Amino acid sequence: MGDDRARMAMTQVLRRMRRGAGAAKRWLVPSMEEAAWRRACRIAERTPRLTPGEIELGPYALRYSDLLTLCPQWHDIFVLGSLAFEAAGQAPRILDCGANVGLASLFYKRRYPAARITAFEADPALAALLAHNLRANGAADVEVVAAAVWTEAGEIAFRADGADSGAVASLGGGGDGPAVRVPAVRLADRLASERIDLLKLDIEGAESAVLADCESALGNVNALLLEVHEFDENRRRCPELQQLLSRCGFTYSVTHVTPLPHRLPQRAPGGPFPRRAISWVEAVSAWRPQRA
Amino acid sequence: MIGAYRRARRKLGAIRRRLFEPPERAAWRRAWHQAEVTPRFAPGSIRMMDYNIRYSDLLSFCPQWEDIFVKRRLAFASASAAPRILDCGANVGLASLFFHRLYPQARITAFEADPALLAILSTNLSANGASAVETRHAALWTSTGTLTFQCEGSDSGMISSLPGAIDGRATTVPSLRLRDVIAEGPVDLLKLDVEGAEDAVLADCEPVLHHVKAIVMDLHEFDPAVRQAPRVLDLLTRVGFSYAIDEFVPLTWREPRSGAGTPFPGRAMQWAMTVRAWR
Repeated sequence: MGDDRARMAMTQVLRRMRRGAGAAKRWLVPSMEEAAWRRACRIAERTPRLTPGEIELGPYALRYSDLLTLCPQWHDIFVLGSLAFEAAGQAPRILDCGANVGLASLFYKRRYPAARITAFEADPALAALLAHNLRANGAADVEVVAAAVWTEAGEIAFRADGADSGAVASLGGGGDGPAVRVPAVRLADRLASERIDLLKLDIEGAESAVLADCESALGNVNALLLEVHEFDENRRRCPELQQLLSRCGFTYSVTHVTPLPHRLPQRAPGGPFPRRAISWVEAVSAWRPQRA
Repeated sequence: MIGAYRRARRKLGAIRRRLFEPPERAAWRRAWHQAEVTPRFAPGSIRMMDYNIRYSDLLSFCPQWEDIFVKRRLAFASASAAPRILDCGANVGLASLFFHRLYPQARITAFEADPALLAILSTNLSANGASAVETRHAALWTSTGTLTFQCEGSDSGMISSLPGAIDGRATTVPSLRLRDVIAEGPVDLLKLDVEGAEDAVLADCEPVLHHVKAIVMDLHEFDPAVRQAPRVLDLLTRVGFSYAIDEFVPLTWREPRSGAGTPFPGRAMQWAMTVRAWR
């Protein structure tokens, strides 16, 4: 028993030293993505919010509308690899819905230079940045569609917030400013005509309406990366969305839940769980199960 | 300039939190150090703040303590000084001790299926001034009788017939219909951690759930072919609860994960999340 304890303590000390050495190495010799992120965060700390500008991030020169939301986007996509996707071929067909300033499209382009990508962005100001960023960083062949992804084609009222939370006005959320009319495309039409290897959908609350509208066309989709925004305590979306995925033959995995305790509206006072978040974002990956 | 100031303030905050750390946190850090040199599944006892606690497996005890006492995951506000609380899946009793600390007059019943854990639970409650907590040896289920339970020795024991059942010592234990327990009277808080039985048990309880004011539940997804969370959450809405999902834990150490041929290799196929439901 005493021997065991001594041996475990020794193993423990070794393990801790190894962990410490690993952390020190990562700190001293960060990856390109990590170094770019650290630098951007340092600059963001002395940059006022919602001020457009341009920054070098690794090999990219990127225009942004708000540096403080660009940093976590870069960290998620390029440092953590949250959108990583293994395609069957070298030229996967990808729809990037809610493309913001283009990080996801650039990420896929880097991994699959021959990828055929269409990027949708509803906020007109962001769509301009998106088009510029793709052109300036060697991804000019990504098709940019300055339109909201929605259940019908035409026009729709959209409330931009200048950063990463603009949303279709009828869904609530978005910024405080007035809603603007923006073009809308019906995603179901896009899916009906071709096979899609990856549908990346981050459309701030519109996902349940849009995917329900797409149900009959989802057979053309091979994989999905989905952000489910749960902002309304009287109308939750996760159950129906997950049931829809199962019904359409997908296997899915919830990969991340981000509680948003500071998002308005907050929990009414009283009640059994004061100060707990009532809004959250759930990241779901879905794919076709492998045939045994 | 602003950046440097912010960084300095953050650093100072971290140092202050380390120097004046709350006793719950200090006890937790000490327990971790001890767990690192303690073999798995070796029962023992440990001093945590003013508690003297027996455990069956120190390594699974530490995150339990962190969740309940450091992060106060089970904290809840009650209008009554003597709320009625059902602690379903009580393990070694941390949740009941926490509730008892929060509401010394609370009327708590703690249910635990694993006979070895039940013995530890009873000792912990009586040794730490919470002998008023009623303990019952039962797996909460849809019928009262007996069933086969996989005893794992720490915090993952579960009913053998459910998907995702882990390897363990199959033991016959008494089962108890939760519906009958709830039907006895109003429940202020239902704390439910029943390792995969959530859907079956709650569906059975649907007609009596109006007796329950609030729920804190660990909702597990063990079976990639049959997901239960959508059904459970829909049920909560149907019986008039609002809910929110808070902590989320992908169980990446549980096989199988998504395969190498899929678009997203290595994804956890099993996970657990904390659901809070209120009126």
